[in-house]
Parts: sequence; C-alpha cells; structure tokens
Amino acid sequence: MTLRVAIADDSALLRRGLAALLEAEGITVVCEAGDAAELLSCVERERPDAAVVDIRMPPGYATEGIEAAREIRRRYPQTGVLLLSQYVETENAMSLFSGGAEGTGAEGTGLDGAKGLGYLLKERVSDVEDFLDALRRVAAGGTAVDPELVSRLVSRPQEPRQGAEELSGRELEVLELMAEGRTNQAISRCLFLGERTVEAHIRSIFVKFNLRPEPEDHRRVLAVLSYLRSGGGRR
Amino acid sequence: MTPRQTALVLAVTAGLTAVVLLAVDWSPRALQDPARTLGLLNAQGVVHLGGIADRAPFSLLEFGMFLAVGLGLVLSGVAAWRSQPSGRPGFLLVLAGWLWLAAGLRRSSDPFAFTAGVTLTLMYQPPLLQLALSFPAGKLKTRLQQGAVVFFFSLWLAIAVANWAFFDPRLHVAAGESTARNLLLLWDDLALTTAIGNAARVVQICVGLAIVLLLAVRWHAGTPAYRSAFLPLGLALALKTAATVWAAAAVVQFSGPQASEALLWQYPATAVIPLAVLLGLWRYRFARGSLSELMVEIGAAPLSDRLTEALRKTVRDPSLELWQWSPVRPGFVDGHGRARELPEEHSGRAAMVLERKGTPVGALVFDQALREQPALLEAVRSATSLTLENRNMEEQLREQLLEVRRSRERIVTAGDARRRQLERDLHDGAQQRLVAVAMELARARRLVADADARELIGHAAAELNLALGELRELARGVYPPSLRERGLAGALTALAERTAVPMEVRVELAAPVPPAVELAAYFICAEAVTNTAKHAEATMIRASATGAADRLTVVIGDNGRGGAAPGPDGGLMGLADRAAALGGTFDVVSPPGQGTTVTAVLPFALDPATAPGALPGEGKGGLP
Repeated sequence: MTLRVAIADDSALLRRGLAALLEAEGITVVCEAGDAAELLSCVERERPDAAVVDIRMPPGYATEGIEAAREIRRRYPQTGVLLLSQYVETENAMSLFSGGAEGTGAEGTGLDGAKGLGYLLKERVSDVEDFLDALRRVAAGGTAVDPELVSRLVSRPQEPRQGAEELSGRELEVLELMAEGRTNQAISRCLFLGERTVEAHIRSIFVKFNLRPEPEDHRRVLAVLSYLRSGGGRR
Repeated sequence: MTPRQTALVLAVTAGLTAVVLLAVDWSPRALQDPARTLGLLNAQGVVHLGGIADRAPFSLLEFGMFLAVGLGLVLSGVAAWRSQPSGRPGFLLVLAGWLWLAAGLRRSSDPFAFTAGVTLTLMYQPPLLQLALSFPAGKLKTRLQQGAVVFFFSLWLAIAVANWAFFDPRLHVAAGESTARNLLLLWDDLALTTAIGNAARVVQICVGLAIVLLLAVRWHAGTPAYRSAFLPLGLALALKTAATVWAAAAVVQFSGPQASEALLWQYPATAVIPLAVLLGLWRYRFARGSLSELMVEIGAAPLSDRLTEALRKTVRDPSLELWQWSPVRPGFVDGHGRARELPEEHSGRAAMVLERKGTPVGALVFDQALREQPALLEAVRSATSLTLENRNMEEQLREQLLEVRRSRERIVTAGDARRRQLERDLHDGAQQRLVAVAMELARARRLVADADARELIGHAAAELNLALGELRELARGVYPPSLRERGLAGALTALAERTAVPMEVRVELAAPVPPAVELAAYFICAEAVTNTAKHAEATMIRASATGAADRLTVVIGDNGRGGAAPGPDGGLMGLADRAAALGGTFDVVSPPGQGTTVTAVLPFALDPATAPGALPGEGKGGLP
C-alpha cells in the first residue's frame, strides 16, 4: 500500500520539488497546501497517512506549522505530522512533543505527545533515504527528531551531574539514534549491531540516566530529550 | 542732564548767589529792618514784628541757613535731574532753589531789588507744589492739574502783590525804623492791608487743604511703588507745610525775640525737601544694591516664582509680573499660561519687552512709577534677559540632547528592524532556494544511472548542505528566530545550547518587553557569552534577565579570569552603545582572577506606542 501524504509549504517552489521527490519514490501526494487552513481542510478531506508541514507559514510566519500539527494530531490521530524548518530549536521540539503544553488544552497526553510527530531540518529532504525513513516512521505513529538537534543536546557541555555515570562511546551513538526516534531495529542496522546488543545498551543508558525504561519508541524519545535538555549528557 | 545743562544751572546759581551776597545791606539799620525779614510775606507780620523792640537782627547764621537751603534745593535738583530721564522734577527743584535765593534780594537797600525780593518771598512754593502733584514723573497728567498749577503760580504772585500794594513799611514800624522802599505801593492803607492779609490767609489755608486732600487721594489710589517713591517727599512737604503754618502763626502770636526766632524754623523745615529728594536717591541706590542680590537669586533659581519675587523686591513693586513670549500664539503669556496684552499708555502699568536678537523672549510688566528709574530698569532688564536667554539656551540644549538620543535610538531600532527583515529575506529567499536546489539534486542523483555522476552530485549535495548550515548560522547571527518565536527565554536557552561553556539561564519577566529591548538584551547576552567563551577561560556562565514593569535588567556573569575592559574596538563598547541608545546603562565588573559580570539595565515605557523599544516598520506577514 502506498503512503498518502499531504504537503504544506508557503513556497510553491519547495512544494513542487517535494511533491516531485515523493512521487518519484512512489508516494502519493494528496494535496499541496500553501498555508495551515488549506492543510487542515485537505487533511479532513483526504485523511492522509502523514503531512509534511513547514513550520513558518502565513499569516504570521512564526510557528503556524506547529499549531497546525497539534490540531491534526488532536483531530486526526491517524495522520502523522512531519514538521520541516530551516532551523531546529529544542524549545520548539519540546513544546511540540510534550503535546498541549502550549495551551491547546487537556488533549496533551504527556509522553504520548511525540507519537506520530517528526521535526526535521528542511534540508534533510536531500538525503532521500533518511527522509523517507523518517516520514514512514511518523506515518506509522513513530517519532523523528533532527540529528543536529540531538547531537547539539548530547554534546552540550554540562555541569557534572551528581551520581550520573559517564556513557560509553557506543552508548552515546545508541543514545543519539534513539533520541532521533529510530527503532531498535533501525539502530542495530545503522550501527551494525545485533538488536539484542542495542537493547542492552539502551537499558544501560536508562539506568545511567536514572530514568524509567520506556518500551515505546516515541515515549523514550521524549524521556531522553527531556533528560538531555534539563542538563544531562556527556561531560 | 547734559554737562552743558549742569554747567548752566550751576553758573546761574553761582551768579544768583553772588548777586544776593552783594545785595545784602549789612548796615545795622538794615539788619534791624522788619520789612526785610526773609520769608515773611505777610504785611501784618511786618507790622507785628516792627512793634517788638528786642527783635533779633538779621544774622550771618540766618543768612548761612538761607543760602544752605537755596543751594540745597538747587543741588538736590541737579542730582535728581541727572538720575531721571525727563529731568522735570529736578528742574522744578532747581527752579524752587533759584526763586528761594532770589528772595534774598529783599535784604538789599535798592528799591528794585527789595521789591523783587518781597514779591518772590513765597514763589519757591509753586514749583514744589507742582513737583508734589506730578510726582514722580514731573509731568502733569490732566488739564485740571495743569490749570491748578498755573492758578497756584498766579495766586501766589497776586497775594504777594496785594499784600504790599497798600503797605508802606516805613510808616508802620513802631520800634526802630524801616528804610525799605516798596515799589509796589499804590497808597498806604493799613486797614485794607489787614483785610487783604486776612483774606489771603483764608485762601492760602483753603488751597493748602485742597492740596493735602489731593495728595491724600493720590496716595490712597497710588500703587505701592508710587507710595514707596513718594513717601519721603510727601513727609517733607507735610513737615514744611506744618512748619510754615506754625511760623506764620508764631510771628503774629508771639512777642519779643521768640517771634523772629520762630521764623528761623522755616529754614530746617524747607531744608527737609532737598533732604527728602536725596533720601529718595539713596533709596534708589539701595535698590541698585539689591540688584546684585537679584543676580545671585537668579543664578540659584532660574525663572521661577522666586525670580519674580526677587525682581519685585529689587524694584519695590509687588505688582511686577514677568510674562513669557509664546512664539506659538504668538503673544505674551503670564505665569498661569493665559494670553496677555501689553498695558496701554496711561493705564498705570508699564511694560518692558525683553528681546534677544530682535525677537521678544518676554516682558516685564510693572507700575508706571518705575519708569522714573531707567537705570534700575535697565539693570533689571539685562538681568532678566540674561536669565531668559540662559534658560532658552538650556532648553535648546536639552532639546538637542533629546533629539540626539532619539536619533540614536532611531538608528539602532532601524538597524534592528533591518536585521529582522534581513533574516526573513534570507529565510524566504536564499535558504528556500538552496533547499529547493538540494531537493533537485537529490532527485537527480536518483535518476542518474552513471556512478561517477551520482558521486559528483552527492559531493555537490554535501557541499550544499554545508552552505545551508553556514547560511543558517549567519541568519541566526543577524537575528535569532527563536527570539521571535519563543521570546527572550527561548532565545537565551537556544543560545545556551550552542555555547561551548556550560550556561545557566534564568528569565523572569513581570511585563511584556518591547521587541527592541528584547533584542538588545539578547545581543548583549550573546556578545558577553561569546567574549567569555573566547577569552575568559570560564567553566560556568550565569545569565539572567529580570523584567520589572518599566525596565529589563540583564546580568551575565562568569567564573573566568576577569580583567575584561571595554575598548574602542571591542564588543563590550558596542554593547554599551546599544544599551545607551535605549536610554539604559551598561556596566562591566571584571577584577582580575574573579570572573566578569556584565550588567545592563534597559528601561522601557509601558505604552508600546511611545515606547523607545517599539520597532519601526515591523509589519507581520509581509513577504518581501
């Protein structure tokens, strides 16, 4: 079954390019919206598997895409949203993944906020394999976080935390991929490791972070991001 | 008074004095002659005096007093003349002095001189009366007053002539003899002379009462300034009048030497008049002295109620007002901001317009009486003009400073607006296009079968990604997008994530902060953090932004080596300029070895329309 995707970007050039790119990969582009309102009506009509949405859109050119993503996640939970931006900020990611923290109401379900959501730099589309991987993940209810954002958080200098043990190099690699929202399977493929080994590393990371292990991919993304953002990480 | 006028007056006075000196007959008979008694017009008085055997003869002392009074009148007249613009009061005093001196001819044995002296005996009084009526201007205001003075001159002359027309003193001296020949004599008739004398006395008393009444009315209606100026002369005239009445009564009532001694009192009583004029002059000088106090007060309190108060005290006019020129109306406005018209002529008020380079800056409005003190007014004018000019310059300077501040603020906020626009342009323009190119490259790579070409495209795509990354960082440096999206807290957190030194951020805002202030705060933090990361060798940075209702305080501290100083080319100086442009303060404390703390306080107005921090031309949603 082919993936059905909606595209929203105020730049016609990018819309066309993205649609062409996706269609070349056998993905059905159900509509190309120029703003959030158009996107929402399209999603209501077409119920696509995923929407690729530019964060900065008319009328305010600020974070309209994030608002639209929340709305879609709330009203059409079957549609995943992959947000694209020309820069990635942790604040935006946290606000997005913690779902509803920005005042959209009680719909936010805590850690489930990251479900079916992705947040990538726009230029990631040029790495077609990775981009399609992320898009499929999101469409399937998973999570995609931009590697730049993750590596920034992981490599961020921090005050040493009391009782926090240092991660090994391999654990850090696993952590980054995990934080990007990849599945254990994907991680093992990336690092050429057995899936069991990856699971062991992940368990170890959670122990070292003193966090409760999260079985679901999107939940553990948020848990790890929250931990990193609040000051954990390598030191 | 010109030097020529002074010389002329003094020459006439000297001549007159010389003539009188030569005219006095110093023979014992003449000295005992009651008809030659100075200041005694009344023929009845001559008869009465002639009946007293032991009357005092004319003495050198009396002659000295006589000359002193006459010269005193002339000299005080000259002094008043020199200090007054019109010279009229001074001239009247001089005239009174001359007439007084001329009356001394009565001691001559020459019939012409004697007759002239007798006729002029009381003629010094009309000029003094005119002076009193016209005080302080010396100019009679109404036709009634002019008529009264003419009438007064004529009446006094008529009384003198009438008194002596039917009186031959040689026939009516009981003790001793009189050798004075009266040329006015028509025929001798003592009963007629007595009747005339009584009638003249009644007329004189009536006229005197009328004058007193007139002066009382004027005193009552007069302004404080008028009263202050008139007081010495008024008192002197009252004293003189009382002394004259008393002496006239005494001469008739007393017997023996007392009668002639009583007549001597007229000299000090008359001398009071020039003394009063001199006192007036001294008061005037005193006022000039307080001018220097005025200058001190002006220096201490520029243009306030205290200045007006000081001016009032200096010129002794509590009604004085200082109006300011309003170029907007245009016209004068008083202290309550009401528009005022300059007083008209004869309204009792006078005005002096203060000008600077031909344009009015204000007006002093005061009692008309003050016009008689031109030197004082001139001094007050320069003092006040100086103050007004000083104040104007201060105001101009303040306005210029304000304008410079505003323009600096405009420059900075315009620059900030440009930064936002530039970032948006980059975002919507170059970045979008490059991303589109990256997509095209990705598609091309998948379409191309040739491995070399694919590799080449792959390289190009990688380079393009690097370029996009650099462009992103550049755009962030121009204007951090997180500031627009997440506010100062979000922007500073994003800054902390990218800083090589661990950084703690604390943002507490009580009220919304204007965008320009937020941006300035962000750049100050960013620059300070960059400096720390580059030079301070710190392991920790603490940044805090605390917003009060009307200001934002930004503090960035590190635990580095310190010793940072704002240099002309350093970033710190730019931060100081940025803070100053918003009317804020900027401070760097960086003792060697103890870290660096940068503190900036950025004020802002609550009303966004007038806030210095409001960015101009910031329309949301406008695509370039």
